[in-house]
Amino acid sequence: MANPSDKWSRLQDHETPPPGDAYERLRGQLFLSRLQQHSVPPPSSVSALVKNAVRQTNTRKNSIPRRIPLLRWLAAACIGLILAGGAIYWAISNRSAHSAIVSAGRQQTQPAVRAAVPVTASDSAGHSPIGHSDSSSEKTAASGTTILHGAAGIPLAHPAIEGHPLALVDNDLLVTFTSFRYPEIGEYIGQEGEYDLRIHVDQYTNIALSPTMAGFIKEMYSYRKNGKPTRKARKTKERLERWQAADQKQFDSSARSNPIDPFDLGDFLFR
Amino acid sequence: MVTRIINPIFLLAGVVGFLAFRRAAPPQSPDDLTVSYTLTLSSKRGNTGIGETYNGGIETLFAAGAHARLRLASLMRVQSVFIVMDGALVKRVTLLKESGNDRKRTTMTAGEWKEYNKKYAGSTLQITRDTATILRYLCKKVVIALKDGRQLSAWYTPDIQSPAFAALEPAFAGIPGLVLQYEYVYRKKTLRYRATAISHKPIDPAVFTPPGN
Repeated sequence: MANPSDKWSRLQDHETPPPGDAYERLRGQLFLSRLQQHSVPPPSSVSALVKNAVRQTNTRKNSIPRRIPLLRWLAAACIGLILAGGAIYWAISNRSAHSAIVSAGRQQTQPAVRAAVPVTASDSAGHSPIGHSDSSSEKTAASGTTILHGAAGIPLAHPAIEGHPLALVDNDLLVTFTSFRYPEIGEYIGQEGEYDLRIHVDQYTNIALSPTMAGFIKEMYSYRKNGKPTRKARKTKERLERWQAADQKQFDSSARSNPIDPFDLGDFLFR
Repeated sequence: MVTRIINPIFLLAGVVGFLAFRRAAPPQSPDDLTVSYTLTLSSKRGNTGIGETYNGGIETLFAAGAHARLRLASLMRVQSVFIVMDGALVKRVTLLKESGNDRKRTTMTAGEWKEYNKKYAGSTLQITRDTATILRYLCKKVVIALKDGRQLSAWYTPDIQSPAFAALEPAFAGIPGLVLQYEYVYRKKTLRYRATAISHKPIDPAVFTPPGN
């Protein structure tokens, strides 16, 4: 029988090397675990410095404005470009509109010479009025004398009532209303008590009809069930036509009375 | 890097927008004058009859250099007086009815215009202590009295001078300023012209050209 102590001594000498990284891992764990347990309190001055530094960092963080996101910058730039483009467009269109009005006025200041329409210039006594005006439609224009034939329609070329454009009848606003060419005019006038009728003549002039006058026009455009004007409408129309005849007799037949003169106009209207 | 591109775009947009608006603002010309007056007729009865066809009308004064025009626009008629000045003197006057088919045009010399307005010969001006503020201008009241007793009250501002208006409206000859309101009272009815707008925008020369010239 073999000596049992030989077996044990052979086993004693037997050794198996560990895995390659076992040693490193063990070493690290042992070191870190020892380090973890080890702590050294900082000196008091250092502690105060660190606290101050942290406080300052926090303050600076709060005062630094946040960075505006890129998308917002893009949006602001786009809005700025759109506004600038709109301003340029508005400026150009304003100048174009002004030029259009001016050129329309210029074109229409050229008289439209049509068939002769008698122009009465002398007064009822047959005396020639002051100045060089001519009553004959056949005379050609001499110096200071011009006969205007027909209607050139300026500056009344593009009137509008409450925004609705009108083509004048006989180049006359009152005749346009009394001609009934635009039956819808009565609808432009609101209910009684709400009259605020405006007639756009040109860029310098918007005539505001008085409530009384707007009421006359409203009366003139009242119809019966059969579509014919009411008796009141006919009477109002006749009244307006009488007024116009009286006005023409006062200021057109005689050159002695000037409707622009406040005395002449007041005396005629208030007599 | 993107913000370096966007910032100049934004700045450029702002500059362009500013220049466009500045350009769009109409230029002003101190010599050109446009004044709009609204006509108002009033009476105790409320209804002034035929006067309602002139009520709400607009009288516009255009003055630029040696040219001036006074235009009355109302439902009843549109009428203008054109005047050409030679310094302070009237050179030529044209009366023109612009509405209707039978438009009439009359041209007068300075002498004929003076004869046409002979009712103002011998009229007197009396400046009173009354004042009124019209379109932010402090105006003084003046009473114009004709020889036949008729009177016209006017409020004028000395801050604006317009010799052309005095030539167009002989009633205002001798008033040291621009009249912004005037009224005539007859048989307890009042005809009032009140300025509602004043402008110094350049006036198109075509405004001073009577049709047919």
